[in-house]
Amino acid sequence: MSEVLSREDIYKIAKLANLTISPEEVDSYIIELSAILEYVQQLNDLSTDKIKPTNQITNLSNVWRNDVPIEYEADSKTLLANMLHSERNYLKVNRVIE
Amino acid sequence: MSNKDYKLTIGIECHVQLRTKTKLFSGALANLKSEQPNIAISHIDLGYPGGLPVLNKEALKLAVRAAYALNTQPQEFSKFDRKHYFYPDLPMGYQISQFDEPIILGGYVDVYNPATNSYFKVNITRAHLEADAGKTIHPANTSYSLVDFNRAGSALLEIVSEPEMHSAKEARLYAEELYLLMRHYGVSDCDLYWGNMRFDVNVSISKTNQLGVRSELKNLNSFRSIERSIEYEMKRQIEDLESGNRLVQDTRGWDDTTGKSYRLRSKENADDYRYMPEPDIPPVILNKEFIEPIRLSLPQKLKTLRTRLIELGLSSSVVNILFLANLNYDQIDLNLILNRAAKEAQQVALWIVNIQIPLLDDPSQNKSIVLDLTSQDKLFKILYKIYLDQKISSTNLKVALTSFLQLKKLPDNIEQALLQQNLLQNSNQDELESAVCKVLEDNPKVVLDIKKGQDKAIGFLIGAVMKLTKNQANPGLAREIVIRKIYQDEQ
Repeated sequence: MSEVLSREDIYKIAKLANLTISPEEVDSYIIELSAILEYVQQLNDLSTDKIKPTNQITNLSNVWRNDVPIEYEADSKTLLANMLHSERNYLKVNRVIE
Repeated sequence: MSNKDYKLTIGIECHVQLRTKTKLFSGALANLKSEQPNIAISHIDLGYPGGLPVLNKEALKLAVRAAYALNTQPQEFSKFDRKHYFYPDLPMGYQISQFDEPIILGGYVDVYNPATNSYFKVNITRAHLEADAGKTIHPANTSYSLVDFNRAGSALLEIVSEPEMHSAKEARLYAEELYLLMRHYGVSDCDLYWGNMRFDVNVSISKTNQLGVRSELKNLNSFRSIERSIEYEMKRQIEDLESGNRLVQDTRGWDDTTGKSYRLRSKENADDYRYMPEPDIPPVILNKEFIEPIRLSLPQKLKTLRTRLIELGLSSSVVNILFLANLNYDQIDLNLILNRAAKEAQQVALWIVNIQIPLLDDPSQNKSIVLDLTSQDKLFKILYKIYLDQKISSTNLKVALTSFLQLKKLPDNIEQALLQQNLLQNSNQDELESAVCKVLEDNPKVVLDIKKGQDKAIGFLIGAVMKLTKNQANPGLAREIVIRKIYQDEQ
């Protein structure tokens, strides 16, 4: 099986997915992801000139709601209970700026 | 090498927070204006599994208004897309935005330059709806950041201009015009303190007609910082190029305190957002039934209003003050000026600017201005006549206007009421003559000075007459009598 993706590609994909991967994992992903890509590439053999891009499969449009506040079942306290770290009701995270 | 060799080019992306009660895709409260973090949030805004975002119809209506404000029409078909990136203020890992089929394509803004009383045009590339991210703060001397999601999911309209501005001043004027437009059309509260309008400014310099490498100044939230940061950035880029460096495309922050920009991140590896159609939100198809009622409810064009006011003889600075006051206060209506002949309109505009607006700006008085607009119109009409007939001093006019504006209903006879309150000027010759005689007797030295040619001292005597008559004297007439009496004695 040919390798469609390079090591750099794998690292870039991992970075975009916010994943840290080991060199061994890169080796296996090159093979696995390349295979997936190759499989999907069969679509390129089809003529799609006359087919409109599919954004949606529901055929719905204009699904909207009025601008009225909703009291959801889960209140903010419940939602915030899942915060790993917090301070003064803020979510606390690793510093994202120097 | 001087700065003049370089051509500056500026494009602006403006994030306008729409005036909705709830968020773009959830029923949590938007526009909360509270310092208390994480109280207006829902499972949808926080990206909990299973949450289904549903589009806020009002946001769509406001975007339609914005389209007309930008001199174009909304797109018949538009759709939403996911824009992926990782940042702690974005819990879903993607932002719901519009990529290739936004609600607004094209349009332009006629930007008013008060200094020259003329317009310049800035074309709009596009404007799209998107959900806002949360707000991150970075406490000093700590190793962490804090995130507040009250803002997360709020409805934004991002308005993207063509890179068509060529000075910091032009960029500022464009931002200010956009501010007036968005408020005038009721699209946004445009409260800058709460970040209702945030600007990303792209700046590049070039000696040729080809655009140079740009840097993007992120998240500017005042008109002044737009102007200052562009001036700084132009200088920085020129210095960099002149010292032989190659500019790199980067994203920069602006520190208003130090007056310097700083690098946030390099854009050399262009962001890869992996846009994909948002499967949870079906596309929007706007028909005439949706658009027409909105179009018919639009206010008169800002440019038309401004032209009419300027044609009435108002100065551009007075017009600007009136526009802002009209947007800020229900008690101010431009029709009170527009429906008058030029001279009267100018006078009424000055009363509104110098007397009424300061009252409204004063929080202790603001709420007490209750006179309805029809009565205001009547009041101005009568006061103008009294003023033309020189029956009232400017001091007393201010007193009268201030007290009448705080009434629920005007007295049946305004002139009578003024008379009863001793606010009308006394043009009764005899009374005035005796008042003048008294003042001249009390101030023999001043009279002597005037006779020696110190004309300025006449003003002092008139002031004394006004004081004696409790401001009811007609100052013009008082002056006449003072001069006559002084020189009469000589003959």
